Amino acid sequence: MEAALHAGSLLAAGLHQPLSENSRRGHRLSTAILYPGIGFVNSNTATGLRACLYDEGRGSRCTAKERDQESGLDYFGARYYGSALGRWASPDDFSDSGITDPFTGRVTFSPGPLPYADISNPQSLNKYAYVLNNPLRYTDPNGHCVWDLCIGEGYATALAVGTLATATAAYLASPSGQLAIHATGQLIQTAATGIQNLITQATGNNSNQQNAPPASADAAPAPTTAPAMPGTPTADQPRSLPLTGQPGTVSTLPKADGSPKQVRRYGPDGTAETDVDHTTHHGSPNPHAHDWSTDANGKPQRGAPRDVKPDDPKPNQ
Amino acid sequence: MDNLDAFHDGAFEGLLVSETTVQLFLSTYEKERFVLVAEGVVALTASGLQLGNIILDVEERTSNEITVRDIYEVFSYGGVPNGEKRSEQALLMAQKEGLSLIAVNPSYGGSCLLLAKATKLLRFGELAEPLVSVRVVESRNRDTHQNE
Repeated sequence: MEAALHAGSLLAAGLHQPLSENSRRGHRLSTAILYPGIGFVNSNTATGLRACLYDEGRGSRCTAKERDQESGLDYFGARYYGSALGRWASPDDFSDSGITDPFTGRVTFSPGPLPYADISNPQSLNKYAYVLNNPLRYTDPNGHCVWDLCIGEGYATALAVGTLATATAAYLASPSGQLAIHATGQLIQTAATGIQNLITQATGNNSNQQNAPPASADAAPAPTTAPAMPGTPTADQPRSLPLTGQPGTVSTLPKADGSPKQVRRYGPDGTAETDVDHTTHHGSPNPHAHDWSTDANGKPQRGAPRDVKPDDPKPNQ
Repeated sequence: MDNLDAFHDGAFEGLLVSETTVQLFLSTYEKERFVLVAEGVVALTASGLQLGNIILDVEERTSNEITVRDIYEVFSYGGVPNGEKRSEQALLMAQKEGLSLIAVNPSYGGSCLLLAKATKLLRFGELAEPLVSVRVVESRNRDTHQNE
């Protein structure tokens, strides 16, 4: 089975019937095309990137929607579409995405105007009509939208004739474009984080620990950090260093500007051995060091501040 | 709030949660004791408290400095469905209401994050004396009623 992304959804945007095998092959491009989707989000669907999936084995339609085998209706996320009738099975009940009150947890929805409604175009006032009754030109990504109108006619047309850069700039400058940028950025960041996690899992490499010897069975767990948040500058910065780590390794706790706040070296038993604090306080120099020890009960004890010595741990050591 | 740098290598001695008012009991390396009073607290998370907690630093972030990650942590959205989206919404709410974030970061032991409308730093005696006085008065009243 071969799956490929092709430009059918763009060049023949709105074909709600399956393209013929030949026409699909004719429209296939050597390069996969992903293009930004609509900017609004509702409670059921969220569209950031959209591609028209061409699957020779399954013969997916350009809209790439799943067809319910029992009813024969196509599921668009917000509602079902009957391609035999060319009508939606239910009216468009578009509402906003809902606002969650973070302090009470309540979600409130309010009806919103149809994003494609236009008093000067009667076709747009029929809540059962599919893409203004013009499927040769338009398509609908989620059951609430006329695709071409959502992303801007200029964008789609210009893309088709090859003036992608100019059209993209115009689109990205629009409010819906800005929302699409935000959504796209989040998707990319999420993907990057996922790839990084895969690499970390595959190699066992934690970038926060340098010079790590081969992991031993009794080695303490690697430092844990909070989940990465897309778009957050301090996403991968922990608030404190763990008290245990792999023996002989050094961990660095950064400040928001990237400079070191605290550098900790772990001793042969995997517990903290020496801290170098890059902060000023109680008359001690910046930086200053603390040595760790344990009392008779095994409880960690942090020594008094002292001057930094040459063999103390250094950031990025 | 000033002088938060003085808490480096100090101790996080405890906290008192009373409805939406939270008191963080902190001391400096020189054993000076303070109470950081947060009023209108909308979220709080504290963990890792141990005997002999050592403070790395105490940070205050204004509403414009709070990050999505701060919100994610203070509301404990880890593992919560749509936690990231809810964090973003809560961040907007926090910025709108002008909330500030207090973070007690440890070198060892307990950490604390809270989101509040107002904070103030008092010397321990400034707060403890009125509480003691109230207890004394209540005790005297109880004794008086018993004698009657």
